[in-house]
Amino acid sequence: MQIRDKLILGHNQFFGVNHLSSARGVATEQYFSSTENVISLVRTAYRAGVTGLMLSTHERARAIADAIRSDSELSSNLRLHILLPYMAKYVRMANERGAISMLEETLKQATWAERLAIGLKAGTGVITKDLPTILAALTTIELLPFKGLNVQSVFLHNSLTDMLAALRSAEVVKFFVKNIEEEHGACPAFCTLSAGLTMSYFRDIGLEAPVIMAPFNPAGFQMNPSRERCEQLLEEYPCQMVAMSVLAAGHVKPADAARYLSSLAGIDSIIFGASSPGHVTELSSVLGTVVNRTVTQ
Amino acid sequence: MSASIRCGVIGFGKMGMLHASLANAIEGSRLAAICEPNRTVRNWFGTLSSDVPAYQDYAEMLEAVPLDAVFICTPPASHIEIATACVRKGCHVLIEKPVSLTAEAARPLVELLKQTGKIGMVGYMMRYADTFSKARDIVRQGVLGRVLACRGATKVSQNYKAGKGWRYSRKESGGGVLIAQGIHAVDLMCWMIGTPRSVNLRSNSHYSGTVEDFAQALFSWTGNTIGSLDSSWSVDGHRLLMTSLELTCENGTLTVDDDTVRLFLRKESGKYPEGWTSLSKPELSIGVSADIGGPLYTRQDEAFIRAVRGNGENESDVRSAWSTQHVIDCLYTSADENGATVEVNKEYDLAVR
Repeated sequence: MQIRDKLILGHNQFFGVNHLSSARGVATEQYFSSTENVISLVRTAYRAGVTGLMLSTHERARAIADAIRSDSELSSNLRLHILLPYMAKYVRMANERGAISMLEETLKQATWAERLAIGLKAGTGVITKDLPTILAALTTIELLPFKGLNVQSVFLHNSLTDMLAALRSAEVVKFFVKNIEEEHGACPAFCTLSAGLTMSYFRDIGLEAPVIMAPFNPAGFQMNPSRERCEQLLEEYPCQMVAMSVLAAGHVKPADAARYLSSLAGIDSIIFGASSPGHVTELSSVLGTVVNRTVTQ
Repeated sequence: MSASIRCGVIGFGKMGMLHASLANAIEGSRLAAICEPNRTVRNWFGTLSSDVPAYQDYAEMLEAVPLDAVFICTPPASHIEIATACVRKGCHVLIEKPVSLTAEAARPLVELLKQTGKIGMVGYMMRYADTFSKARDIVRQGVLGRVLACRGATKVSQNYKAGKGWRYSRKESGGGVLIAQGIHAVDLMCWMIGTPRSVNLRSNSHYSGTVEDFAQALFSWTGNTIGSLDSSWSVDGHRLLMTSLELTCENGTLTVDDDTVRLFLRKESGKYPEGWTSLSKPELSIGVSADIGGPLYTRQDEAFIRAVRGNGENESDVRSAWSTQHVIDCLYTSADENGATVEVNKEYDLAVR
């Protein structure tokens, strides 16, 4: 399975994520606490050729999903790419209650039938089932807000992708692929901040042409272990690459990012964030030259 | 020692998973065993990593598997007992922070590490963050002159109700937000400025009931340097933990947080010009083997593995964590005495390296 969008609008600005400045992140989150402002930006992006939208399973994603549902243009044409799980929530819950209680609490959101199926006994809070069953249940719960929408792909969060690669958990990686394809009819995909480690491991276990989202920018920011190694693997390992962090959290100028990305063979799509209509129009035009060039090659 | 450092992880919660993954991701080390008392979690680990054995009991693990290094990720009350057993078995240890519930409890471990020469490191990973590490270099190079005042903060939107488990029991956790999160800022202050001479703390446990949710501390250093810390896990608008320091110095001001180092100099100094200099994370970052929970954890674990091999300095050793812990003890004593000034014992005063 492949994803079709060449340009995807990222969601970080909606949820207060800014890798250059947490304070700026809070300010943009304030602006986008209005779902109408979110939808307005998504609409501008779509009309500028950004046909995909990434959404994490943040608490506010449900309101955004509902707003997309009620917009005829977006609900019929915009393709969604879901990043799960929303790690910040789980890390906070794990800090507060411990990892097991955190999972139990999340699983309580499942319906009674789902809870029965996954072995979460009513009232006792005891998880008894195996890991793949629990992961499948969590995936179902996380995807509930997007039911009925055009979900094209499901990306596994980088912390989990990279942990699975580090622990060499081939069984779980392959289970994720199968579960997303067969149970959710979507394209399984992996976000990574450890492209060197993860791509090498995926190649070792024979994962064929996976969809990977990894940082590519001229500053080498988040390109681990090094820009050179990431570029080398991009050349050697056939995969569908969605370049992220292309502006290195605002440290790189769009034109420089486009020049760098154009010099690489193998960038299929680009995901980027933008916080205003002007910004999204400019970026879709500049970064569009990279992926449109890729299409015609 | 084997060609590849054989690592064990005790406690497979959030931090245990992170260190286990990093132990496998860092070149020259590998995960050789884990220990986790919860059977369900052990079963899950069996699916994640079927070729690595998982034990219920740490003594059994230490007996059965030859290990060079152990990551101790259990609740703080058990750290010293487990670390002592690991070191006696010939292992180097990285202990998650805090090293113990009180500095006094860690004294035998400090002695044991001194006698055996084993590496003992404590998870003060903020010392390995690009921005804080750069800020410390700038302060230590004397670019700013003497530090006159320091303001620290840690904030996160995490806790708004009474909870269950060890984190909410002062007996098991040592306290609330101060020992769980504020301790990082206290450690950074000790690392950059030195051990304070005296401290005061006022705290409030509005939500948790049992441990503090808000902590406001004052510090005094020799030479009239003063400081403060505002720490809370019940502050709105911070989806991630934010740690920041502002140092006002004779030649200017340095502010540092997780994202940026900002420097204002009244006079040019070293390679830094007069006026503002701003250094952001993308400018400061260099690649790591793998970024699983943030590059700072990878750098910390890489430093630990290097130190185990005898090839590097252990920046955050048990001795400095012992000193930080004593400062925390003094802060809690002050809170128990309604904010009275508590003198820090000179025995714990570490000269800044």
